[in-house]
Amino acid sequence: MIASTRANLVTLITAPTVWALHFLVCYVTASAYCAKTMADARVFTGTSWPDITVARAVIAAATVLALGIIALCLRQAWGHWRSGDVDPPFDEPSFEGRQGFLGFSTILLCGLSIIGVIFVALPAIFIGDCR
Amino acid sequence: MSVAVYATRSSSGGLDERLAKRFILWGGVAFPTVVLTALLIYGLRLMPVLRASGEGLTIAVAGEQFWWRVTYQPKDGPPVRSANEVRVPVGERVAFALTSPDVIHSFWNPSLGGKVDMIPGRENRLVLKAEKAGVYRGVCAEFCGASHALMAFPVIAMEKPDFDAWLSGQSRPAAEAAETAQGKTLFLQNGCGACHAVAGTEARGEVGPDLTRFGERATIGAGTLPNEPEQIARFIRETDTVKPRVKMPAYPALPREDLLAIAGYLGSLK
Amino acid sequence: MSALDAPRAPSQQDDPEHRKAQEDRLEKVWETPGGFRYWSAVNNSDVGIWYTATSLFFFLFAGALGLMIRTQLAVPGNDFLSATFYNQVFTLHGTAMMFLFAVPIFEAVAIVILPQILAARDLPFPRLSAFGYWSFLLGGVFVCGSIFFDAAPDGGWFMYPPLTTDEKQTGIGADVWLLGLSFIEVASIAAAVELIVGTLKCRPPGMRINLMPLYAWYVLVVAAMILFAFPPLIAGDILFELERMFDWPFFDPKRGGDPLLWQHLFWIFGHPEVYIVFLPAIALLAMIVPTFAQRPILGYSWIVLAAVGTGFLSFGLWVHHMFTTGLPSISLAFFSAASEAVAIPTGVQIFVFIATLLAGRVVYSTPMLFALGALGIFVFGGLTGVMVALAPFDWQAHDTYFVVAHLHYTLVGGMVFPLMAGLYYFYPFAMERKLSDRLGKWAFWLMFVGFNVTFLPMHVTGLRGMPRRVFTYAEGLGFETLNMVSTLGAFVFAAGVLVITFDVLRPKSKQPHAERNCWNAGTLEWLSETPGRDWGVRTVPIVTTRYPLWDQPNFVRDYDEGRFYLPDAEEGKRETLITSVLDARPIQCLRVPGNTFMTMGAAFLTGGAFIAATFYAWTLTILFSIAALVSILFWLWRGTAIIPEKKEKDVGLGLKLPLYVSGPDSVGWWAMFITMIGDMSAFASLIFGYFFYWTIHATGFPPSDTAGPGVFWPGLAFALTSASWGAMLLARRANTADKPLSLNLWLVVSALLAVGGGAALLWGPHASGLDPTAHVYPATVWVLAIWTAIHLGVGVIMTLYCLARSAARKLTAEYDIDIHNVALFWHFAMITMAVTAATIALFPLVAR
Repeated sequence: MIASTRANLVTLITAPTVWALHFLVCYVTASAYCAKTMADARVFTGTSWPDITVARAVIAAATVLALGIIALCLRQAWGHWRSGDVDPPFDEPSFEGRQGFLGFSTILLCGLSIIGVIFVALPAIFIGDCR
Repeated sequence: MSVAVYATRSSSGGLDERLAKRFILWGGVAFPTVVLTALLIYGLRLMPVLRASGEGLTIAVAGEQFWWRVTYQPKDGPPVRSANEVRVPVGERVAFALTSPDVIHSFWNPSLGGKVDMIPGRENRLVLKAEKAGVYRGVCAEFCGASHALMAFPVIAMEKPDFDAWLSGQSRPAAEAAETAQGKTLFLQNGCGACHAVAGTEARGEVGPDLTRFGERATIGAGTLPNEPEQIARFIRETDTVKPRVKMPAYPALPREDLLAIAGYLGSLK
Repeated sequence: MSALDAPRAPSQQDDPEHRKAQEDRLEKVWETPGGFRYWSAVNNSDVGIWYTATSLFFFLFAGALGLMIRTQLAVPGNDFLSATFYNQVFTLHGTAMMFLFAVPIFEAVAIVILPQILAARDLPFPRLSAFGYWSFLLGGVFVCGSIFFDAAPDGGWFMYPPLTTDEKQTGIGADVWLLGLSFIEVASIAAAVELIVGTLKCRPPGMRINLMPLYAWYVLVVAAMILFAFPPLIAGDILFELERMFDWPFFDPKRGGDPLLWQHLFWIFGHPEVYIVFLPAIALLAMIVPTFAQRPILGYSWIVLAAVGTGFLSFGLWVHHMFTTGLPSISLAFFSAASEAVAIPTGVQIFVFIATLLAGRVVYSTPMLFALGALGIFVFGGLTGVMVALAPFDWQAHDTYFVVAHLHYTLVGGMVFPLMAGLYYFYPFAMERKLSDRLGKWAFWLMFVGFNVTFLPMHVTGLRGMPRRVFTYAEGLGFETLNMVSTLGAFVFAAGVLVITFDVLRPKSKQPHAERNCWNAGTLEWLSETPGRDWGVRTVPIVTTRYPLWDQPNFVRDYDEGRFYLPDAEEGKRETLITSVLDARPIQCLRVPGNTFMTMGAAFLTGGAFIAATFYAWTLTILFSIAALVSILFWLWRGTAIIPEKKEKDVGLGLKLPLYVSGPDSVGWWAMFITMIGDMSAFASLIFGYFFYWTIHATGFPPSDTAGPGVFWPGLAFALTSASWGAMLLARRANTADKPLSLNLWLVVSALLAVGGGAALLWGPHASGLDPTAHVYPATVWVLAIWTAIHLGVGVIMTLYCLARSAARKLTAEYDIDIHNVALFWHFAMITMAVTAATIALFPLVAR
């Protein structure tokens, strides 16, 4: 379903699904890491805030992986879009019309997902501890 | 918006598709992305700065229905109890340890900084710094029950030497005066001391606000009424009307002169 | 077969007599019943209109509460309302607007127009829509009615514990909120299932995925969002009620609980909900804008991008409602980032609309006016949204009137104004007469001016430091003038709403019918004649373009002459076409069930169980639950998987389609699959709860002094359930091989094993003496075990149902819908069991 020569609804949503998983990994890693490194997650008792280097490394790896998968989606969608040799607005009642439409929409969603993944990775650059 | 109105007014229907596509791409995607990226980076860089640590003094504040329990925890020296009013030195980053024993409240002083919730079972941190001496009004920002609207606190920013002097003066008991002795007796007789504390007297209750420096405060009932004898009397007589669902019972049976005597005593506590 | 030529071949349809006879038969089959039987109708056009009218009524009710709020706040120290009553009023205002108006109106409008947009005669499960409607009506009246007994919820529409778990402070109001709304949420999920299946499987032949009207795209996205957004709230409601009724300490920090879990679960629902409200309204604009620009939408793919993209991103925003809870900056920052990102697809939609208007010739009329007003207000709300999405700004603005202003700008601009545009646009479609253009313009200007006068000053009020949800404010703080202006504006806005109400309600029998397709639109719903006919569509057309009424030659004539599919109802049965997901190839002629009171009965019995539980009347609750279960089984038995009198049917144009299909080809299988996705997301929320408690208990979860359920009993439960699942698969195989005896045997084995599995699972925590009121850990273990056991119980009931169907010869090798759907359920029950066992038995072995 995901890797397919024919575009379908699953290929359409693969990229945003990757975004969602990436988001979840980033959030869960950072939150669980901060919660578990502090003696009591609900009360600040230490003298300084624990830093989150480990979580940042995980987030960096997840980001590279996510962008890689989205790039693969993009390549496949590009193939779908180009295979039919049809142009917008993709309203032909044919396989090519459908393929072109799904391919092009997938490309757009890949673009949005790339922006989304980068946005979600930015906090790890600017914030270095659990404060 | 004006583009949209123009669009409907122009009867020519002229814009060709190519141009329209570019309009979507640049106006709808490229421009917002650039602006949002810049905004996001700005916001992210600001966050750690706003959550820098304090510089020594920590003030524990507990939000309770519907007042504020304040405990100063200076680095050296014993803790100092107070209520419904916070004093801070100018120019110093003061850390607040925020808790709640009952429901969620939110500690917010708009002029000094953002708000932080006080959540049962958790202790949250907030650091505030007053740049100028003055009185800044704060309120409870999270809905906490019937009298959520009647839960304010002033933050009084004092010059550092004044503040230090004030804080060290807090360990002495409240002033006593002969003319308020009857009020004191009535205060104790009616059992007020079961819930309220006045340092140096038998009143050692910890359920309600500490009244040791009551006379210094500008308002009563956490910003509900001005601190005047008549208003104090009213607050004691019809507590629930003035401040719905407050825990303190009303004393409608107390004669007016007794109420005023108690009010006089409380007002003299400085 | 070339789709365009086929209908014009000589056929019986050339004969007017023949057509007349067809029309009479169709008319009779789809006729709306008269008299008291009118309320037994299940057809989408009837149920949809009731649904819409009811949710608009709740809108007016909640609006009146809003006016009371504004009256109270007009002057400082006002005593128009007491503090405690004010708290009920604002809580109910928010609750009713969100749960009884904003979400239901989406479902209501979709039930009215979606089938016609897809040229389907009805949605695939009309009785389910009717069940949903009656549930909604009962639940809504129950929740709203509470205020007349001074028993309305008063904890704010997001009900933060521990204020709301404290029975002394909140009384019965919180139970009314939790149970009344849970009941409605279940109905919402039912409607979502219906709409997803409708969009994917009930499109007209030829309407490939790239030709689907944008409205259908939005419905698909929004209904899918409901499946993932509502169940977490239901899971939260369950935990909440367990704490209120049985003192299980999920949100009590003294016993290891945490009030923040509720906030997470509520906002995992709450933020997507904003988009669940917003997207369907934008979908109306996506239909209105092309019509009034008189050209196809420009950037169809971009709209699909925006709808799907927003659907995903909206699930990464929830913590931005929790920016001030003191969570680590890094956790907040992810949500800040996603909140900024979601502005991109939202902006794209608006630019697509503007571009379409720029490229077309705009016809100026009331719907267009509301559409433009909507864009203007929403863009402003979007700008403040980008501001509050930045945590440092939100630390100031959160819980103040700034946020009140922001949310009203987004919801009124993003939802109320488009809805009013839709009301003026679709009114002639649904009610056969046009609303007054003159009154509409009056209403628009009153609402537009009134709205801005009310809410624009609130931004300043909030920045000056006025928190939300205050029943009064003191003099001299700079709030007086601003509040007075807001109050005046609110009454102007209300006057606009009154004008519309009058326009809708005024008698129109003397007014001529609107002409057919009165806005000269291009999509299929405007095929309907005026005065309308009950059949929905005369014939199910073949579609080859996005705007068939504009682009397909002779389309309306061929349609009127019944030259497409299903022009007749020879057997006197209600029928519609089922097509494939991507290319809309016809695959089945679906018999849809007709009018019945059964759904109303089932809804009222189910509602009775919820209402009895509100009053802690347990015997009554149990009796109602049993009655509801029986009524639902009766409904299923009588009304689903009916064996047709013949295998195939000629649906016209020489096409023969089966009348009965099962497995993934059938709509029932899809409904089960989609429902179980929703069920899984509720379950995932409970699992999230377990791991949430694990993270906050840094010193050990389970606590070191508590023995968990052990490995043996959960392990045994897992083994028995696996065996039960295996037996179910063998039963399905035996049925396919036409061996009824072996089928029945395996069904019995499966049921027995499942009972054993459920019992073993519950025995684990019981045997180790876990007391759910002592600490949050045992409570969490119990909740997972009970949830799973209930699923096994439901599975057993389904298995026994199959057994009875087989005995009655309603389940055979050829007619096997039931066993396929039940087996599908068992896959999900198996997953639930496996995850529960792993979490409660194995995780403590590895966790710190």
